[in-house]
Amino acid sequence: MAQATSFRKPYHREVTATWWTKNPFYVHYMLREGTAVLALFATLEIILGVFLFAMCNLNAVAAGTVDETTTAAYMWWATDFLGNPVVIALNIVTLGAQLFHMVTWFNLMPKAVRVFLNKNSTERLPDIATKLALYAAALGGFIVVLGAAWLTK
Amino acid sequence: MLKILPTRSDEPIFWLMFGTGGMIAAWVLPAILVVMIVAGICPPGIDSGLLSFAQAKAILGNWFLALVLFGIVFILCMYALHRMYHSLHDLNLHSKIFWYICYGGAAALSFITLGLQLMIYCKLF
Amino acid sequence: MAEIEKKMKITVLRYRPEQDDKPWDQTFEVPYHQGTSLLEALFYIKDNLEHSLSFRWSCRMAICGSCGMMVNNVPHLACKTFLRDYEGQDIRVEPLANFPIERDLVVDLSDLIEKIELIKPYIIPSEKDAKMPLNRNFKQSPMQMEAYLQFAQCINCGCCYAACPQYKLNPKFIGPAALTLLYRYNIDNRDSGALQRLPFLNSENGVWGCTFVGYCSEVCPKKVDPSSAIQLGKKMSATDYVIKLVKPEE
Repeated sequence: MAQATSFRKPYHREVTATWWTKNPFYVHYMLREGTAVLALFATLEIILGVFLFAMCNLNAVAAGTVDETTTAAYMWWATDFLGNPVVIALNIVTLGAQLFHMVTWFNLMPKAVRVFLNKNSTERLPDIATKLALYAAALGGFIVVLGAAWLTK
Repeated sequence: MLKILPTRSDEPIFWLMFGTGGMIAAWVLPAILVVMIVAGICPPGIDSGLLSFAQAKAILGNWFLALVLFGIVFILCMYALHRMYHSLHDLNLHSKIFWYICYGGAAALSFITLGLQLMIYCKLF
Repeated sequence: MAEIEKKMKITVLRYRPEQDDKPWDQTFEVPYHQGTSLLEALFYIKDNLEHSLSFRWSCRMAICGSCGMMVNNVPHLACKTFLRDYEGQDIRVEPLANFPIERDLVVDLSDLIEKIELIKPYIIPSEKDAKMPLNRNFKQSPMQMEAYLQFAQCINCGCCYAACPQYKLNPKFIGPAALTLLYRYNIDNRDSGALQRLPFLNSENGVWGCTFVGYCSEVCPKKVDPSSAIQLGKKMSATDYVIKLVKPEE
């Protein structure tokens, strides 16, 4: 019996780093993931403030007074750094990014929650209930943090 | 047929921290940013105003608020760098070095913050 | 037929392994009416314009899962895609993404099949149940059925794998359909094979290869929602991880 010839030659398509630009869904996904970079930026701002306060605190302890010289570094952070137009603009962009993160995060959360209302029914907790609870908590968090900031002012 | 079972991944630890951090980022980060923007627009003095020296002292000198602040910084670092580590993979950049940079960076930033906060709390002016 | 016949340009990515080094485009003009599916348009091309065009199909009614392909870069079943929905545009048809192209619109799905096999997609009864006489049935409440039913609707078409960037970037990733089936059998109350499947769920290429892009759920023609099953699988794996951390016996 003659041997059959195989012409098989599977073609593997190339994987490029720009795969996500080809589909709006993937662009949305990459933007969603990208908000983490700005979250890190906000965290670094906080750490910088804590660091400069720690340095000023050491100064104040050594000098025995709290005045313009001993608090200069922290006050630079609180006024010049946070007051810099570029930093203000970046903070506003970061705020927008975090709100975008919040919406995309809450939209996906119901997929990780699959709760039956009781063991005798096939009815599940509706997605909207999960989302509303999350938004209520977000509003609560917003009020608590702002409230705490204003009260300790 | 003998098949070797795959090894267990340690990802659950990082995933649980990422999940918590993502939640915290959605719940408190917008408010923190609003505070920083407002402080930027109306600069505080030493004793009064939003994010004044006196306020920073009040927050960092209170064990509860200081602990909450550290918790937020720690979980946000873990969340952000975990997500960025996976984004590097999405951009077709795969290397174990990124793992050390991201998680090592998150750990280092957290330890620095913890150290600074302890230093402030133990010897506050 | 009174209806005026409209025409649409359909570009197909061709690849003939015996003569082509890489895929190339071929454009056809296909007449269509209100009820013409993309699969029927491909029949028209094969019958009238290009006899050598290869593509897979069987049932023509979205249940066999053979005719998955990329339509304008989105994974679809050709039989469930209608030309009327693309009115005013051209259609570009490519073989399912992330799989090797065998010929024209035919891809090699063996990787998907092997992964589905790997996770034991069948009920593994407990020893007691296995000895049960054949005339007795397993009991299952409506809620117990509802828990997995949606995840059991998979027809293995491969659309979710074509939609998954993580599978694209790491072909070892077990992937949406197989992980969904894994979860579906693990939560079935008639099944006792969870321990045999958990190592796959817990691995780096199991649920932890997923970053919750969510596109698999978007393109699934049977509304299976694989990304939900994988998130629930992550919770299952994380729980198992914590339990083993506290109680490391065995």
